[in-house]
Parts: sequence; C-alpha cells; structure tokens
Amino acid sequence: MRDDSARWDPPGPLSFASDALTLREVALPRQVTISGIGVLNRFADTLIGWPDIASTETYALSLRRDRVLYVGEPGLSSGYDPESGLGVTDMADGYRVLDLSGPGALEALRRGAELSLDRPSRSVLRRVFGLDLLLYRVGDGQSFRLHVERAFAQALAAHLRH
Amino acid sequence: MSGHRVENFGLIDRSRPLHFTFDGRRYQGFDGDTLASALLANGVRILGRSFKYHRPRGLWGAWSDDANAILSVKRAGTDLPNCPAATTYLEDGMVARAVNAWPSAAFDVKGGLDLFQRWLGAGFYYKTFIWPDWHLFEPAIRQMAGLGSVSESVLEDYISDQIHGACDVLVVGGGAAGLVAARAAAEAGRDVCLVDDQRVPGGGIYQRADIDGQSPADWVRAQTKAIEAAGGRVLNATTAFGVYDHGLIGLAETGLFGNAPRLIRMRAGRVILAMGALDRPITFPENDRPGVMSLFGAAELLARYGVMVGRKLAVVANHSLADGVARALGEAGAWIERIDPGDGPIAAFQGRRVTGLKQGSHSRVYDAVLTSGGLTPLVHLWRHAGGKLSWCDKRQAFLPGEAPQDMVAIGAANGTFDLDAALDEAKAAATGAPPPQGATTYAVALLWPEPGAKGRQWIDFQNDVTLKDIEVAARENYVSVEHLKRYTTLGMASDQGKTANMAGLAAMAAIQDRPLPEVGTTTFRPPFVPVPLELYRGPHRQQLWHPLKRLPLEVEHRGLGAALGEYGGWLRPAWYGTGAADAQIAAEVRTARGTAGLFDGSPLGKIEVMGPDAEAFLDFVYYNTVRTLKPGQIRYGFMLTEGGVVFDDGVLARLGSAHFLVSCSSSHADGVRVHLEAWRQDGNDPDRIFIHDATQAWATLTVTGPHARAIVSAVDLGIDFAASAFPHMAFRPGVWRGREARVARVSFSGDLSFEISVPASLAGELWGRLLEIGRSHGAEPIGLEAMSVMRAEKGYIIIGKDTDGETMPHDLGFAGPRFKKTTAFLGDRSLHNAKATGPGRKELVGLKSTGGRLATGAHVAKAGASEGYVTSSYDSPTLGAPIALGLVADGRSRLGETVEIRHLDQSMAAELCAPCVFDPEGKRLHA
Repeated sequence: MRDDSARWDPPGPLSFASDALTLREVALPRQVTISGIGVLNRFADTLIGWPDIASTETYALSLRRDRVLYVGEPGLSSGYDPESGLGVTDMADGYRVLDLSGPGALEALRRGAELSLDRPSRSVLRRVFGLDLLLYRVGDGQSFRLHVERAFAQALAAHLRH
Repeated sequence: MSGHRVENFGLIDRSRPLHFTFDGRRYQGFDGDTLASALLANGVRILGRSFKYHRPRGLWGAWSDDANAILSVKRAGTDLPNCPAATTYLEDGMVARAVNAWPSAAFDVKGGLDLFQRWLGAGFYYKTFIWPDWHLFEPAIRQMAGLGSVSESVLEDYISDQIHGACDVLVVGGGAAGLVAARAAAEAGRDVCLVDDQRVPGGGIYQRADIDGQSPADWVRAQTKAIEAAGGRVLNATTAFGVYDHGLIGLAETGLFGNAPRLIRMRAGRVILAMGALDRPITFPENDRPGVMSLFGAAELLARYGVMVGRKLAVVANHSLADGVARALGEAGAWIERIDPGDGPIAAFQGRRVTGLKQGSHSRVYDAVLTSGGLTPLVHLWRHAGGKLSWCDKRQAFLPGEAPQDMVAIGAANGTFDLDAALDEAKAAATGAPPPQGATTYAVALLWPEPGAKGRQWIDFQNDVTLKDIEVAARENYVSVEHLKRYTTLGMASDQGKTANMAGLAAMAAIQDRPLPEVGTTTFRPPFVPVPLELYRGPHRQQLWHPLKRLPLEVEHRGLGAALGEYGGWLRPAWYGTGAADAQIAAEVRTARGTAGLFDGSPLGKIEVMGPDAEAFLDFVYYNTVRTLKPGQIRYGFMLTEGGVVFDDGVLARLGSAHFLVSCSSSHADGVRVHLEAWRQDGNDPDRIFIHDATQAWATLTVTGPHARAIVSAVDLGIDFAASAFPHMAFRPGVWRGREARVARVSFSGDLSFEISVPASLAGELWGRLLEIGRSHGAEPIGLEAMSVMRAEKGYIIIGKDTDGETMPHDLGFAGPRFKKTTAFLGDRSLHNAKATGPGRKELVGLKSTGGRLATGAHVAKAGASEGYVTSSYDSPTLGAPIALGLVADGRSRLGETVEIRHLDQSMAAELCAPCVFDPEGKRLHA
C-alpha cells in the first residue's frame, strides 16, 4: 500500500509536433467491432490492411479472418444479429485514434516494430512498442493512423515523443 | 617490448593529436587510435592484470580478440567500466585506469597473490574455505574478484536507441571478402547491408601493400562507394553480436564514447558471414608475459595505427602465412628472427615482461615475441544460427559445416585463407552460386599443448587457466568441455573462449588421448562480444518499462487528492486525501457503510460473448450453470482451469438470448479473454461464438452503501431503481447523455450497490454528477483499499490473494455444481479425483484474533508444521476489531477452534470462524 502518484506523469495531451514528427488526435464518429463468417467479404469494398491507405470516411479495418473494426456507421445494432450471423460491439470509446505524420513518421514506428511498406499484411493489427495497435495509412500515404487501446494511449504517445 | 610509431603506416590522422591519461600518467595519441594502440605507441607495456593471480598483462590482439587490456574510462562526466582497450577508440581527455589493479597495472599490490598460485589452482574455492564456514571467507573473496566497478553516478542520458531494420542480404564483416560479396549482391539488385565492427572497414587488408593494383585504402573506398552506388548500406562501427530466430540479427552500432550503442534488430533474408579468423596463442612456459602477443595482432597495429610493437622481434609460428607477415614487419623497420617451434620446446624468460626466449640450449633476447599457432575461423554467429561445424585436419580448425537456413560463410571465416580464393567465394555467395572448389595453400604444422610439460603454461590469459588446471580438471573427471569450462573458468568472462578455447580443448584431447573433434566445443551463445545491458533495455525504462493502464478519470482522481497505486496492471486510486493512509481508508469505509461510497471500478472486465452457441459455450466454461440465466439476470460464478483450480471469479450478465457480458475480475480481464478465446477455438464451432473485449470502451462507476439507491435514482439514467423493479443480481440498460448505459445491481462491498457503466468518454460527466448528488447525501469517493476492507468484512474473496494454485470451488464453499450440474464443464473431472475429494484441503475461513491484526501470509501452525496461512488481514472500521481470511486445512469443519498463528518467530492465537462477519443475513445487500 503505497502512494505512487508522483511516479507516474499525469495524463496530458497526446498531440505534439516536432521537426520530423507530428502526432495529432483524431475524433472518429464510430468504431464498431464486427465478427462473423464472411465479414471480410461483406466489407470488401472498403477493407483496409497494411499498408493500405484509407481514403474514404467510412472503412473497415481488417483485424483477422472473421473480424473487422468498422470506422463509421455500419447499419448494424449491437449484440448478435441472427440474420447476418454477426456479432457487433460498439468500440467508439475503446480506442483513441492518432495520426502520425512528418518525414520521421515511419522511422519512429520502426523503433517499436518491424514494419515495411514492402511487406503487406491482410491485418492492420500490429504490436508496436509492446502495445497492440491498429496501424494503416491515411491521406497521401505519408501519414499513419494508429488506433490504440484507450488505457495505453499515454504510453504510446510517450514512446513516440521519446 | 618497446612500442613506437612508424612513419607512413596506419590510418590515423597525425594532424589531430589527442591527449589522455592511463593510471594517472599523461600520454598522447592520434585521431583513429584505440586506447590500446595509443598506449603501445607510447611504450606502455603492462595494460592490465589477470583475474586471479594478478599477473601483469600486455596486449594480445589488436581488436576484439584481446582480453588482457580492460580499462575503466572516464570522459566528460561519463565513467564506464570494463572498456576493452583494443576496441575503444581514443578521444581527447579520456582518463583511463586498469581494472583489477591498484594502484596501477604496472605496480599492483595484489600481484603478490601469484606467490600462492600452488594453492589457487582450478576449483580451489570448491576445496578450501569450507571449514569452519565458507561465508566467513566469501566477502573477502568477492571483494577481490571481478573486473571493473560500476560508477556510483547514474548516467541519465545513457540510453540505447532501438530500431528494426530489414534487408535482402546482410553481410557481416567488412574485410576483403565481405566487401566483394556486398558489392556483387548490391550490383545484382539485392537490398544489401554490410556491417563491420571497426570505424574503417577493410579487415586485415591494410596489412597488404596493395590489392588489384591499388592501395588497400583506395581499394576499400572504391568497394564501399560501389556498394552505396548500387543502393546498398554500409554500417561501420556496428557489431553483429547474435543470431536469433527467423533471420533476426542483433546489431550494436557504437558511436562516440559515453553514448550508448544503438540496437538494430535486422531481419535479413540471407546472411553472408565474412567475419574472418583469429590468431591462436602458442602454449609454452611463461607465454603470458607482456610482450608475447599475436603475430597478426602486431601486423594489424602497424597497418591501422602505425605502431610497431618492438624493435627486436621473435616470430614463433607454425604455418605458411607467417612468413609474409614477418617479412612485412621487417620491411617496416623491425629486426626479426623467425623461430620454428618444431625445433624444440621454447620458454620465455621470467620477469614482469618478456625479455627473451629459450629454445633448447639457445637463449635469445627480444623485446617482443610474436606468436601464431594457426588461425581459428570465427564461427560464433554460424553456431548461433544452428550451423554445424566440421573439423579440418589440414587447417587444424573447426570450419563451418552443414549450413543453417539462408546463411553462408566465406573467406577466412570459412577457412579460405588465400585472398584470391576468398574473393571468388565471395562473388559466388553474393549470387547464390555454388562455392568454387580449390585447394588451399595454407599449411599448418601440429602444435598443441603437451600435457605434462614443465613450467606454467597459460591457456586462458584473462582467467588464469593454465595447462596444469586442465590436467587437474581431467584428473577429477571434469572431462566434458562444458564441465571443463565451469570448473576451470576456461573461456569465461569477456573473452568467451575466442583465444583460449582451442588450446584448452586440444589439451583435454591430448590428456584423454582422443581426437580433438571428439572433444567438441562449448556452446556458442550471443553476444559475440560484450555489449552494455542498456542495449537490451533501450527506451523501455521508468514509466515505459511496464506501462500501466490509465483510467479515463485519472485527472479527476488526482484532483480529489487520490493516492494512486498499481493494482493488476492499472493505476488506480488506493485512497483519497493527504492524511495517514490507514486513517483515510478507515474513514472511507465508515462513509461507505454510513451513507455511500463512490468507487471507480472501470477496470472490471467487460467481455461480450455472442452467438448462437454462446450459452452452451459459457455453460461449459463456467463452473456454475448458465443456461438457466434469463435476460436481465446476473449470476456470480467461477471459471476453472482443466485442473479444477479456480481461474477467475466474477459475474455474468445475460443481455439477450445470445448475448452475454462477462464481468471478470479487474486484473484478470486480459487473461480471461485469452482463456475464453482459447476454448472458443477448441471443441467449439468458432463461427457460432464471438468474443469481444470491450473493457476499455466503458467506464464503470459504483455507488455502494445504504444511500446508493437514492443517489443513483437522482441521476437521470432512465431506470427504475426501486427494490422491487431492480433486485439484487439484476441488469438494466439505461441512457446517459444520449448513449447507452449499463447498470448492474451487484455488490463487492456487501452493501446495496449499483455499478453504472457508460462509454468511457462520458465518464467525467457521470462522475461529476455522482459526486454532486452523493455529497448531498454525505457520500464521498472511496479507493480500492477501502473496498478491499469491506469485501473482506463480507467474506468475499480476491482471486490470487485469497486463493492459490490449488484452490478449488468447494474449498471456497461453492460445492453445489460439482455434484448437481448435469452438463459438462471445464475442470469437472479434476474436482472428483482423490486429491480434490480427500481430507486436508485448505478451505476458506475467517480468523478472529484477540491479540491484534494478523500478518498477511502468517502461517497457521500446528505441531511445528503449517496447515494454512492468512490470506487477507485488516483492521475493520465497521467492527472496530481486526478481521482476517485464511486458507486452513479442513477449515470449515473446525470453526470455533483456536489455532496458533506464527509469523517471524512471533506467535498469536486466533479462532477459526465463518468468513463473513458483516451482515451475514444479507439484509443490507438485498435492501
């Protein structure tokens, strides 16, 4: 039983900017975890893997063979939908979303994970700095979007600021 | 040995003098020097002391094969121990001291230990100092042992950067073969990375007068330029220190002194090893004297640093490459005498440094003796990768044999010591072509240690292992090379056998009259050379070493003066306020019992299980029956391991016919998710069950206490909180700020409680509202410590604290499903075996002490043996008395019995009682 408050920095803004790197928090309207048979096919038009570029407002992040994180309104209610055979959970507050840009962006990510634009993956799930992230590209392809579990957002920002 | 500079040799910049001190004396070197080369150029002979006997040590090799000269170096406030002099580049203002020597390497007061050498042989510490007690001697021995001492100052900025890299072809070693291989691969369109551990690549090529009609320096520049022009990378001062799984190579990139090296985790499609070969010492009496050194080391000192190690040199070698090296040293101005060790046993003159040699009846005076007992290919990385070795009689060396996947060895590392052949091999390796076959011109005469020979003959210079030590080990049956290493310390410490092992293995082979390859080698493990521990740590330090999960309301809790602590991987309020912790916690308990407490329970697991088979799946995973649970109901239950041991407890809410919410314990949420996912995929149709962990999407705020209903009713959640409408163990959906809210009437405190879960981003508003309403009722925030006290008063357990690795549900008083549940469940069979049903099981009980608070962990003692222990213990503000829970053998059938509690030689009495000492009828819970 010990007061460790002083050993941990109070939470602060995640965003920062330096010459080589800019980290900016992004507000996405909805994030919905959807699981089920054929879910990848269902959202094939907007399915994003690594190192795909998300260029639309709504899109589905491929997590695994039976799971996506849908960014936007999927038109499905939460819970199990017997008609579609899908399980749906609102995760809008489960992840904080950050855009990393600047000339040092990829290098900064490589400090925490083995990443290459030349090595594609069907999934956007990555372990970076020991944290589970959803990672893909946005805009002109020079910026990276990171979804991080809410409770580890401070740790991710600290790693990138390091 | 009278080392001195020679004009027109070396890669150093003589226009840039650098000043430094060694053992208190000032010296000058040049940019490009190592500490070792600069000291030799200044005529310094003794650079260190050996580990055990404190014998004077001079330089053996010119690079990482030297284990004799180890220094503590200070510069600009940075103080680093154990810097190898031969691989530490000189910088202006360095203050160097020999480790393991006082007051200096030249005069070391512990040098007298050598007089006692006959009592300090291999394994002496296993045989002496036993009587009366080893611990009497241990402090003094430990004080004398070791090399450099870590500075007391903390190097705040000594932080290794870490990065991941990838390439098609990684070439390790920037000697001639490595350069040619890298160039050929790069020009063939491959993504090539060449790493070399020196600042200037080229390996030993500078010992030659020319190559392809160019000076070695021009030739090396041309190769590196061509590699880079073809898109390849050349990383100088970068050591490949280890090979790991799936083509991962650890690279340590060093910079200026005082800067931590950078770790590059390089994933290579293919690895070409061109690390070269090392010179082997020759074993003869007094062969450890300063001035006896490697022939190739001396040549390298001349070629790279313009340092001639002496003026009158003996060259003692047994192979065909020695003549050329000797000739080059002679042409640089040294007086050379070639001695054939095959002409008879040799011995160095005794003294603090070498002054001459005897061979038979002839004695000759020299100021340095350059020896070479043959070349040993550097196969460390090859072995890290799982490559085999094969013995070559012609070269008297272990060579790379059966190759590991995607790795090839070339040049001297492959036993190809002829330059032209090595370059052909390099070109073939670059394109994946079969290696050219050709006869080697290298010839070496047998020259291994001779057991029984007279005099003290050193095998391992750093660790003071002599030929006699090997003989002792063999006599005492430490004949396995791994045992030999541990018994004698042969090949330990920073050298790791680079110079010592071959002679040691050969000696053991000779003693046993076995072929050397039968004796084998010890295991090669990373790192190839010593690297700072910081390299592995990198940015994973302080708050980033093991980052805690942070609550959505941390700012609000800090604003309320919360004392935060780690609980199950989360940073959570332990208590609030600045007073003494015990008093604050007790006040919080009294507030919660008197009116209500407001508690942040956000870390509680919130795992959704959905799908047509969700009910059957959970019925199998839970100890309790799930299929009878109706939508809107909640049930407390256990998950068990296959062994029947309680894995987690928590509540399960049924949100719909095929939709469940698993609210597991806070610290086990990640583990429970993995547990559920594992069983989903094992024996179930994974397309009919879906598991979503939404723990971090929701914040859970608990209101607990007699005023809880009044408080939550005042929050506009759109729920009827009347007791009849919302009974204990029920779940109701609501709305908060236009979004879904989930309210569960469950209790961990034993009082009327409501857990309100809202989207995490809306938690701040709800917390503020609860504080506002709650304070009007006298409620206040409470921390986890107060909640822990209250749950113990009620007899509620915390998994992992009040249970251990053997606790089964019936030990906790939950025996029903074990006999009554009709469907199969996880752990069922294990609950019926002899151990599970036998006597003596440790069962959960309460402990009532009359002598004060019991110590958590204290043993319940009987006849000197333990029959259980205290798992939780508090001073109960509610009861005004100490309370405790414990696991005690057959405890539940012994209620009322007085037992002895022992802790740290103190004894107390306690009465076994029921775990629940607060509201046993449950009136407050069901209010």
